[in-house]
Amino acid sequence: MRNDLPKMCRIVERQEQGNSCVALTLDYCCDFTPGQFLMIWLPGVDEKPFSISKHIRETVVTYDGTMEQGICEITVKRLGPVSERIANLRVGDSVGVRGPHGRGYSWDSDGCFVAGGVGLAAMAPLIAIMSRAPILYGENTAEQLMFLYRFPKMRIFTVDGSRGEKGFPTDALPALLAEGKIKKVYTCGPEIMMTKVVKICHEAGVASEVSLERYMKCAVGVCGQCCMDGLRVCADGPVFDGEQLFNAKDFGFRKLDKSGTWVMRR
Amino acid sequence: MHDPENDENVFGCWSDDFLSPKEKTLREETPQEREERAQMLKTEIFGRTLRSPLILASGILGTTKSLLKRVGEMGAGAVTIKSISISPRSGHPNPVVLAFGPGMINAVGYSNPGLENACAEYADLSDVPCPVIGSLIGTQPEEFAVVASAFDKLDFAALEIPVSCPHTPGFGKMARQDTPEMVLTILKWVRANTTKPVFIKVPAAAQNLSELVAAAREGGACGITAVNTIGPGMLINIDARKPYLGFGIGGVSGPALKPLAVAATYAIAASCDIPIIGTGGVMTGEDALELIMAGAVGVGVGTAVIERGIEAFELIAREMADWMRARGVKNLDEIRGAAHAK
Repeated sequence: MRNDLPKMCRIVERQEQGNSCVALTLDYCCDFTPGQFLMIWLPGVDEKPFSISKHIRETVVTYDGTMEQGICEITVKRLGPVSERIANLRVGDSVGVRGPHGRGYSWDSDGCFVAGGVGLAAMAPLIAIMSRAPILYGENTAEQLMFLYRFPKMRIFTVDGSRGEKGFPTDALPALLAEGKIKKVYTCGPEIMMTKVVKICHEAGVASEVSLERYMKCAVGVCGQCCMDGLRVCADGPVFDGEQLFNAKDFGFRKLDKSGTWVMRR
Repeated sequence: MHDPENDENVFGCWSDDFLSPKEKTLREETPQEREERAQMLKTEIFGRTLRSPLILASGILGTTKSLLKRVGEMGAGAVTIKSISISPRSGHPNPVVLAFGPGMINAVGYSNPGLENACAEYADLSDVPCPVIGSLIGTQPEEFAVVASAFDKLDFAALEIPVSCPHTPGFGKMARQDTPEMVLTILKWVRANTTKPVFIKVPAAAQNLSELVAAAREGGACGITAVNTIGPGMLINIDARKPYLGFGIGGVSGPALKPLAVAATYAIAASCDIPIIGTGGVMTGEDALELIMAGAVGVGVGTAVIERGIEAFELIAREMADWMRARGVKNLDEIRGAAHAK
């Protein structure tokens, strides 16, 4: 069997992204495909999944051979007590890391991105290598916007209109798809936004890939806690084909909480 | 696919694996082979005929009906739900499940949505293509009775009572439910409230195994599930200087547990003819046959899902059939308990 125990890793860099998110760079070298996630463990506290927002791995040639070295960056939004604690960690602190887990995005050169909030982080490694793909990025307010320097060409939407266009990124998607150049839409963000993206793509006949979020425990597909319509978000996902979700009853409708009780969308 | 004109491979992270995700593809079986396999693996237990002896162990994937359905479609003979208590429980803090190499360690802490929500979830089991076993827990015998009477109205083929969880205060081992007296009392309360066949899930490496089995038989249990995870166990991260599991201690399963499961199954089968669901460390068809030769009727599969995915059920069944075909074994009854022959 595999050994999937968390390994303690040092935080080597910390960047505030907007007023609610923090990008933490971890001294953790691993294989990776964009869209996969790491389980971040605070010993004695809790363990939560975070998508990798940046990944570097390189082979270094030394005098007596080669070695692999690399880093992973996660972007943490302050949502609850655990993410608050992780976001407040400083450079030099250690966290437990295991992964990466799950299945990532598949690649299509004629793609476009629809991101909502911290969902941008899950797609960031893919955006970084698809430099010409259009990005529609929505946030609530201008203060929350992140990765503005990393991806300067993003088309920005804010709900209150404090920066960029007023509204939601899904408002501009039908027009973009109508141009006919886009073959695949990548999306990550609030589930209500992703249901809209899937619907728009279905109507336009364009493929889509959706990264989902659920309460996760084992991250290896054995506990059933992140189940959605018979799919395990941790092992079968977190990235799913939009068409597959279009007919899914639970998508955008309900999720399992920590106890396994269905929580309906408000 | 990859167009170097438009995009640069900045991170060097594209592998062949990424461009075409490796799907586990199974060899196409001919209709005759499928029919032959069905005949070979047919199993009779708790008054039902299962198409395979492989049963999804409790606590694995059994959180929702949709997952049970998927496991059933993957070829499981029967599936067991995650154990249900009267009120909802959120369980222990993460990490609750970790694969550590020779096995898996878990301290989920019986997280479950509670009886009311569970009855709503499992109200209609008609689309699950195999029998479903209801697992029930309680801190007092009366609580087992309440869950059992509610489950009696549902479509479960059998009920399972784990008296052996090693890591949840108030339940199982930590509440000393694994004594013959408690087993008798719990069975008395449960049997008064249901007519469904009841299985008792016994602890691994129990000193009082024969007494437990005798108590289960006396109390009217239909069969024994042998065994639960062994515990308490603990693993410590030496860099963090803290136990890995949120709860500290947990139950160990997977390959590390298999010898104990085989021994317990063998011991029970040697002492009486009560039906046994042998559970513990079954990763391959050979493991499953080992338990059957020790005397098991059904074979529980759990931790294998980490290693082999939900396809584990199909893969293990095919491996069993391949072994049997190669050795001219016509059905499982031929080899059941074979290890006992003098």
